[in-house]
Amino acid sequence: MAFLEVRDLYKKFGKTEVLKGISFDLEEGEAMSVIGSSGNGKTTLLRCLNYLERADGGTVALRGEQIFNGAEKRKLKEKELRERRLHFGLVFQGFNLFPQYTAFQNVKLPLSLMEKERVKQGKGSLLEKSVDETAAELLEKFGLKDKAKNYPCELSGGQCQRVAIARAMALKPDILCFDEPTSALDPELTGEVLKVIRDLKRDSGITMIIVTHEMEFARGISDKVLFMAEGRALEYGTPEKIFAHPETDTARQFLQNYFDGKNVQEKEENDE
Amino acid sequence: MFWSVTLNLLKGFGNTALIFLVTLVLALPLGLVIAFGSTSKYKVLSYPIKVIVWIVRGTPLMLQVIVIFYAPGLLFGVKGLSRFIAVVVAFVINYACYFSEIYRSGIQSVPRGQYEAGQVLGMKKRSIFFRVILLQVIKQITPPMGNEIITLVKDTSLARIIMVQEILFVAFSDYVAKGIIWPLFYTGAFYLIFVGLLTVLFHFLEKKMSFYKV
Amino acid sequence: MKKGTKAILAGAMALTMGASLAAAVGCGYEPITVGEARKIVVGITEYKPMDYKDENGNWVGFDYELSKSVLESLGFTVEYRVIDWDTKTVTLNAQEIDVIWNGMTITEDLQKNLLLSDPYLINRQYGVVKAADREKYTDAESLKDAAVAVETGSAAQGLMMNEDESTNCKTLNRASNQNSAVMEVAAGTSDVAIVDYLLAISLTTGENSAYKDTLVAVDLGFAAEEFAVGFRKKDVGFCTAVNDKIKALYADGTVAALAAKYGIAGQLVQA
Repeated sequence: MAFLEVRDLYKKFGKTEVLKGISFDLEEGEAMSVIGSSGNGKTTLLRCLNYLERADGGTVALRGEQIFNGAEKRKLKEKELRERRLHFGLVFQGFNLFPQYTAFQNVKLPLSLMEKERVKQGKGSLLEKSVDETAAELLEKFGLKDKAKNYPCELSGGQCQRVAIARAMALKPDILCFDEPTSALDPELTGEVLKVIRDLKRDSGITMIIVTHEMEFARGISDKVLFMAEGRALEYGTPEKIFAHPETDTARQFLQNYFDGKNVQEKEENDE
Repeated sequence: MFWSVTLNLLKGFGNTALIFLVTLVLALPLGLVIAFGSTSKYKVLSYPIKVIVWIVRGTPLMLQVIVIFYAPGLLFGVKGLSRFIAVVVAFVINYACYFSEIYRSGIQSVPRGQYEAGQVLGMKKRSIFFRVILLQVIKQITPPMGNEIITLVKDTSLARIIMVQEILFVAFSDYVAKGIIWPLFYTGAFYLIFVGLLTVLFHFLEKKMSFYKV
Repeated sequence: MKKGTKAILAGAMALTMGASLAAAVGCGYEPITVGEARKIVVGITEYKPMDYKDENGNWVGFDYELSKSVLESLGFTVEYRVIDWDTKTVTLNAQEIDVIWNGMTITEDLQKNLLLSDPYLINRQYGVVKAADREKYTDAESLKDAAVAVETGSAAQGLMMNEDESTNCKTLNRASNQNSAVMEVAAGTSDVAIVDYLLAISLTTGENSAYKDTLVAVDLGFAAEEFAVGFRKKDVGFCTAVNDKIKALYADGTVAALAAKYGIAGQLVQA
């Protein structure tokens, strides 16, 4: 029994089928990259896991306990919805930081709200330290100690994304999802965020699912790779297998285009 | 003479200010109700409200004042509202409809990502609205609301159409009708000062919320 | 608001005040010469049977026909403009109109501010009430507890309001014109409207009158008044010429015929 088991996840919008039965396993501490051309359902997959969309079919089990079943059609109460969502964290492509709060307040807000609720419900605190200390520590861990009092409009894209990751980590999710975390960043800032994610995996061992276009990064960080095309998982396996020996033509073509493009770019850069 | 005119006009402006304040106090919350009603997913609610908003925004306020005051007696032969109350009713309905459109567009201008960030962080719907969305909406709607509210100050002069003794009515009936015209232009000073104060207030509010940029 | 803007605005206001005062005083005003071919603008309000529109939208009425015939015979082209009755003096002095000819009752204030012609018609202030109130309002006394509607700046207002601004009735509602005053009674927002006799009669009696079955005209015992035509103070020559013309039209029976046509034969001045 794997840490995370996803079976036949199916989602359609109106008449359009976006996820046509995705299955994969993830062990605790593993990182899985999801790659493929845009518009093939990668983001929808993450959104279904995070309960931002409600999938139409399939199951999701965490530590053996089912947290999603497509057969269950009843409307969920807000409380249940929130509980299920908390298993996952999501880092958005556009950061989605709260603009009226400082970096520190952005990280603190969900934390203090959750603590208040736990106290009200008589459950113990999740934290060893106070909310303020926890938030400050998180920011420091991501190299943002001296930016704590800045507002998102005063931070660079890379700094914003780091705050977003800190914020997502604050609630200690079981699985942290990244939806193209660097696609909205200028190239020189991309490296900074990728490094942060690598360090995060190394230091915290948190389970991760990363949708990305950065193939080198994917190859380096992943324990598993999922290649999606047209709503299906066409390839699934270790990075060595997928990158070196793709089985399907689609995957081969995709990787070829990418690396060809890369070679051309590198050649151009070398020529300059 | 100047002093007696000032005092008399000031009395009239007292009514102007009263109409303004009562309308604001009632129309600001009513506008929120209408905004939610018109965007409700229950068509039974949203359609009638949308029609009402269309009528109220599509006809002159002056006409609405006249209708609300005279229609009960003229068309139905029943006793209507007092002059002041009729004016307030017309104004509150009218401005609530305009406010509701501003509220609606303010709420819709907040990116969906803000809601989603709150959701994936396990925040309650209420928390998301009051802690994340609300301030962003307020910052967005403060300039257009300032405009509408300043317009309200001047629209109060329409009350004279049913002989409510606001400042312009006093200027016309007490002075212009006797051939003395300068008090009429003098009323401008009262409006200017009042609107000037409001303008300062709104600038202050906008500045307070400029601690962050979108 | 910046200091500079405030100064400019204050200056603009002062200018407009000054300009309007100057207009009111009429300094530098060229009086109208009778015999020059020019346009005369007559200020009127919709006031049956003096000036009103027939079913085709054309202006008709006793004052309309009388004024047209008098002014045209003096060699002028005539234009009619609807004005706000309560700003009639200002409008005249600002030269928006050249003469007020609309069943205007002579009052002390008017005598002070305008040049008036000789009286050309008798008038009386009459009451208009709901049919059910016919017996209730019979004289000035009976108005003490009533809500009375009058046209602002009219002779009726003068009857109801004293020098010290106190009123002879419970509430005095000053409407923008006589028709609005009558509408107040129809809507029940006022008890009595005091308007010119001619208007009261024309609105409440006759086949096509607007309030035939709902309102009635009642005699409140107010004294007879006179109608005159209003000119700017400096238009002495113009006024004299009009006076002569009206006298002539009385003499040759034209006025009598007109009065009969509009059903106001009883209001002729004993010329």
